[in-house]
Amino acid sequence: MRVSNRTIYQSINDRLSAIADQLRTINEQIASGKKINRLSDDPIGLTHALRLKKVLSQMGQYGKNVEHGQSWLNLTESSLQTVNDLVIRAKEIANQMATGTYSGAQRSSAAWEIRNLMEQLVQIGNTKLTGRYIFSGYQETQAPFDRDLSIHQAVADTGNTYAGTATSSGTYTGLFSKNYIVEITTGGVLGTAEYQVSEDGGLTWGSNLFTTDADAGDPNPVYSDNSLEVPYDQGTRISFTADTFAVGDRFTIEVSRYNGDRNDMEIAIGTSAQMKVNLTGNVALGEAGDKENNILDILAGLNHSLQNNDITGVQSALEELNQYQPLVMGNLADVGSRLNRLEMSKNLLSELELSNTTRLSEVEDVDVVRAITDLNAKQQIYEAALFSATQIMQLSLVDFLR
Amino acid sequence: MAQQKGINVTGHNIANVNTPGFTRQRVILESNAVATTTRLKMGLGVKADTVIQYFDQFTTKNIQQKTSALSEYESKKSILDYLQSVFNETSENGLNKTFEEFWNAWQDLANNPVGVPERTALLQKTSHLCERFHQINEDLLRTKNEMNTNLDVSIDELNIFTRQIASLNERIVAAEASGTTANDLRDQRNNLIEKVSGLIDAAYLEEQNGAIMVMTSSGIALVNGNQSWDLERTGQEIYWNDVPTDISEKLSGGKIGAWMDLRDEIIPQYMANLDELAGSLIYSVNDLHFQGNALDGSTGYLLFAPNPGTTDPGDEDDYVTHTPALEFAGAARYIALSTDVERQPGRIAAGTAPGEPGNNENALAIQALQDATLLIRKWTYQRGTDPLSQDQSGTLDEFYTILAGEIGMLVEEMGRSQSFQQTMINQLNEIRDSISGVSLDEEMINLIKYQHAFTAASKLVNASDEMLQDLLSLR
Repeated sequence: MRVSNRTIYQSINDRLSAIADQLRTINEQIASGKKINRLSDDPIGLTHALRLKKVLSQMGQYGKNVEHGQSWLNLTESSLQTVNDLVIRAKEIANQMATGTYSGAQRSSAAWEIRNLMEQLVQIGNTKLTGRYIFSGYQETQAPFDRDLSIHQAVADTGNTYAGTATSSGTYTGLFSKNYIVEITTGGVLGTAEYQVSEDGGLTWGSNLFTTDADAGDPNPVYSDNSLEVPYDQGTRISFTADTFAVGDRFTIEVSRYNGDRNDMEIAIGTSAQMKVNLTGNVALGEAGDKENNILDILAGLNHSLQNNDITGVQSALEELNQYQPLVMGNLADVGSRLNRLEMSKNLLSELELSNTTRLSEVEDVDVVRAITDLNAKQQIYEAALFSATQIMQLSLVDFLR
Repeated sequence: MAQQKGINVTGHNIANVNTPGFTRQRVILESNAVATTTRLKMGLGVKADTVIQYFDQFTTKNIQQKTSALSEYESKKSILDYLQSVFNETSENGLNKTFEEFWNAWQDLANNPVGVPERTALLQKTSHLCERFHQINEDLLRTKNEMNTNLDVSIDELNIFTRQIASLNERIVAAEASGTTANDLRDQRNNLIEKVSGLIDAAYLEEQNGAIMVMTSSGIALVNGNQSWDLERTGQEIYWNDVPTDISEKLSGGKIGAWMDLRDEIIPQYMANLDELAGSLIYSVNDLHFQGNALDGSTGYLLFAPNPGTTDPGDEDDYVTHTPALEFAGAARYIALSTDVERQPGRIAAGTAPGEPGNNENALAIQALQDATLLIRKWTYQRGTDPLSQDQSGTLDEFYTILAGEIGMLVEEMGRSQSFQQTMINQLNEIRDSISGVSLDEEMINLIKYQHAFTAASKLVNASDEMLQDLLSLR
């Protein structure tokens, strides 16, 4: 082929700039430590890297969530541990006082200690973590436990056809928490309708009562303000705005020391994996109206028996305490197993994080040894090309003509 | 005399050794007609017949064609190189990263729904995300508008070149009417044609009289004989010779084709898809957020401001009742925090029921959107036809990752095509130069050749002079 001068210079130029460009790429990779410095360097690798980065970011967040859950459950666990200790102490007292060798005065001082234990239980129930009550469900800004029983607002059942409002009032005279349910057994307006009342959340029901009869001796009076006393002897009242009741309409009034709700606090610990990290107060210390399983009720009963020097009462309270203890252990086991699960997720997350980081680094990071070997190779080629270029450019017939 | 002409042409070649587009020339020497006297036929010496060009029509045509493709790829790549830096996903603050932070902020809120710091952080991350969308959208829009400026420059250049070709046509026809070849004028014209090819895909036809006709590959005449026609951009349209009919669909290749592809195809497609991404985010988050409950139990707040164009801002319910066939055009521009939650972190709806400040169910539901499979429309733009859309199922992140990956692949492809065309052109140039290029060595040899011939001829003159002297001295 005929070679013109322009061909020589042009090809030297092209080849040198091609090698210089390769050198630049390698240099950029070494300097940044990344194989992919712009989208076009490796689009497939980049989408892979983006996915891995997203997964890593999620892992990091899940890790944070898990730690958050652990701190909640750890505190729950230690609180329950203290509950258990207090129950054991109460059992000791009940055990001592159940024997006939103690005097009434000694029992009433023991009653004082029981009241103390109750106070402590209320305090544990009001445990806070970073300003949030851990035993109150979603009502975490409100202290879940009170020292005294209070009548909560009446709640109408969701399936009710009754369209009016129900409000509760009164001064509770009982000793234990209650979970009253008023159920309409015969429909009609107030005055026509009939109802029955359960004191234990619907397990057992009282006799059928009429809302009409206002006789003083009748155990189901209707008051002028449209309220019923449920049951008439314990001071709790429910008032209605005028409307028609249907059979099966229900209204619940809780009388308890618990002000929280029954919602589970869940956190995300993985893609579409959530876990409950709380224990609501009604589970931790007992449901209202369920005397055998409500530690505050049991202790209130024990206190009452001790004050009244009632040995049989103390004995039955001791029996209740014995039966109660497995519940605390059950709660502890529940919390403990959830802590284990979190620990496992945490380990899994850190393993996944490690393997994903390794994969990301494979996709994204420069193999420095290889890059530098490449650099040296290219450098040699470049030097050789420069050398041959200078040699060729000097060749000219002109130099040999005199 | 003939040898002197040879030396002249050699000198001309040497002088133009570095002139781009110069075609080497050679004197064709021809022996003079034989004079027949008596019985002997005697040569009557030499004459310089013509100066010819070593010109390869086929290779030159090929180069012109490839130049058009090369400059199209080059131009596209230069703009796309910029665009990929806009998407900038390899760095630590790409859109993907802000997306991650947005979702993580929701999880932080789920961990502590009553926490004001978490709520404030979420608002910040959200507005950060919005800003990122705005930034990318603005960069795309600005680049798109810059294409019109580029088009103007390229069209002006094209007009100048076609005018010059027309005037060269005229001079070449005049010069060649006498039968000689206007070598240097042709070189100039070939150069211009190569430049026109860089601007647009065009075809050339040489007529008998030496003039060249230039038209676009779709047949729009640019030069005919000594006449040329201008193109002009008005708005988004391009007119020929002031005829107010848009001919932009008929123009392709070269820089002009590249600018128009970028303006009407590549950039709008990214903008439309970015809008879909922003719109889907706004829609899916707002849908949940609107139903959720704020810290004080109130409900019906939007996290993102609604579309100011198609939605009545007063009727926020639109966002709940809308079907997913929503119009998202412009979403990447208008995405912003709604006035509902702006500076009111308490109004972020983390819960699903009133009166439950610790309720985090809505926050959990919203953070789960990051892994939720959504139907997102993906647009494909083709210049000259209506854009097409197709529903793609995938997560928001995946959709974006695909967008970023696509731009990377486009740049990679452009780079590859560019270097391929460049290699082709380099090879063709080598072939052309091997025919048309000047080799100094060769010219030196020719120079010496002519010099020797000249010396020999001089010697002949000398000899005949001496002979004449001898003859004259006879007496």
